Amino acid sequence: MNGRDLSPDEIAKRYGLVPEQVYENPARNIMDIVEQRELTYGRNDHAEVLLVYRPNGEPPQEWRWPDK
Amino acid sequence: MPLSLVAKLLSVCLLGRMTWLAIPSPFLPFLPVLDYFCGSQLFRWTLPTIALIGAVAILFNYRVRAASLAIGVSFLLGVLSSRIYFENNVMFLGCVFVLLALSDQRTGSWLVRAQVMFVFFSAGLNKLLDASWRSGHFFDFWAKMAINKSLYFKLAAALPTMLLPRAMSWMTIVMELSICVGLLFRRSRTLAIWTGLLLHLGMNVLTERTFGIFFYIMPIAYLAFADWPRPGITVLYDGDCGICARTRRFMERLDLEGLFQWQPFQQASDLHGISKQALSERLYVVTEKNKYSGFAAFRIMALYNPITYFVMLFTLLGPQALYFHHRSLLAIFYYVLFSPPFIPIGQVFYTLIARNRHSIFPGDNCAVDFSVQRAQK
Repeated sequence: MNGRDLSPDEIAKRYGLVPEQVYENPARNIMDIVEQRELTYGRNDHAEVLLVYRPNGEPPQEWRWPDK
Repeated sequence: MPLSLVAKLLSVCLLGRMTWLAIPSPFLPFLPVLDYFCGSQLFRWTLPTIALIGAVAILFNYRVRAASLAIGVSFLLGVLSSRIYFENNVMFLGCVFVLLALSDQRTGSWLVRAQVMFVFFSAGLNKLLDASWRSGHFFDFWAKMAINKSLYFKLAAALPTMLLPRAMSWMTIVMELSICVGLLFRRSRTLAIWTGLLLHLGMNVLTERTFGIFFYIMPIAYLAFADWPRPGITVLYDGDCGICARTRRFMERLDLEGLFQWQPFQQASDLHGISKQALSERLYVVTEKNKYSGFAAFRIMALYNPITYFVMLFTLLGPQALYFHHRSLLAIFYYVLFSPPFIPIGQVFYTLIARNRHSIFPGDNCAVDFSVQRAQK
């Protein structure tokens, strides 16, 4: 946000999610949470989000919000 | 009877695990309208309070259906008000409580039964349609995170690559779908229930996790499939045996529902086709459909007594450290003790105790000695 990376605590507080963790749900769940957060409470923050995830230990994939 | 028992056991579970306290305040709700209550302390504490009061009301048999509805709606509203809070086990808990509230004489247990079958169907189908489950890759990756039994990894290393994860994946898929089908039909229901219990037990043994409260609430929900007997089950025992009379007094104290009618066989008008010889050697329980003797008789009396389920639940509800991180050992004990294959082993112990009861219970005599009877055959 504003060119500054958020700290792990700030990320946890913003999304209610631990910044780095293994989740047993699909990555889409995390993306939905991030999208909803940024489109509602954070609509005026103009945040840019990068989610790096590895489904079932496969090579990392990236998801960005908003799409560029 | 089963549904009120289900409600009470679920209430104990959500009180014991403090699940009621975890209902959150609204944050990123599934229903945007609930955002109106974001930050509201009143909303934050209303749902947990309702769930708490509802659970206590159920335990005291006060307006059970209304209390069930209140608890169910609280959890479902909690889920709808927060994407973060959503978990399958909480969703299931909320649904079951709502369905308990909606169940009546007309529906019987079928609403709750349908919910249980639907959970297994959708879980099995979800895995079947997921390539990473079919290939075993999900299980292989998940095992490294969740399984804490080194034997699994030793076995996986000894077998061809991915064989064990793939086998475990397919075993899970087949079990879940077959449980769903098995529960649908009366003939296969008992086997389906034991398979379901084995599935939950297996997951607990491998991981020592309870998966939220799934480990508790799924087995509790199986009670909705139980054919609960009407009061008046006959228990025939040797009236000339002091130990048997003591056993009767003890068991009658535990029979809070008044399900069993104890009769000394010497005074019973109907022996239900059982010989006096057999009745002098073993205690018999006669239900509408079956006769049980010895260990099997005590087993069925325990399974028909709600106290049994409360004892099992209470003893399994503790924090993991209480069991030195091996809660699964206690769960295995209960599973084995009550499983049908254990009955012959139980009968051996029963016969052993019956034969040696004089030394085990000195001072309690029987008019006809068991060992003398055997010598006279």
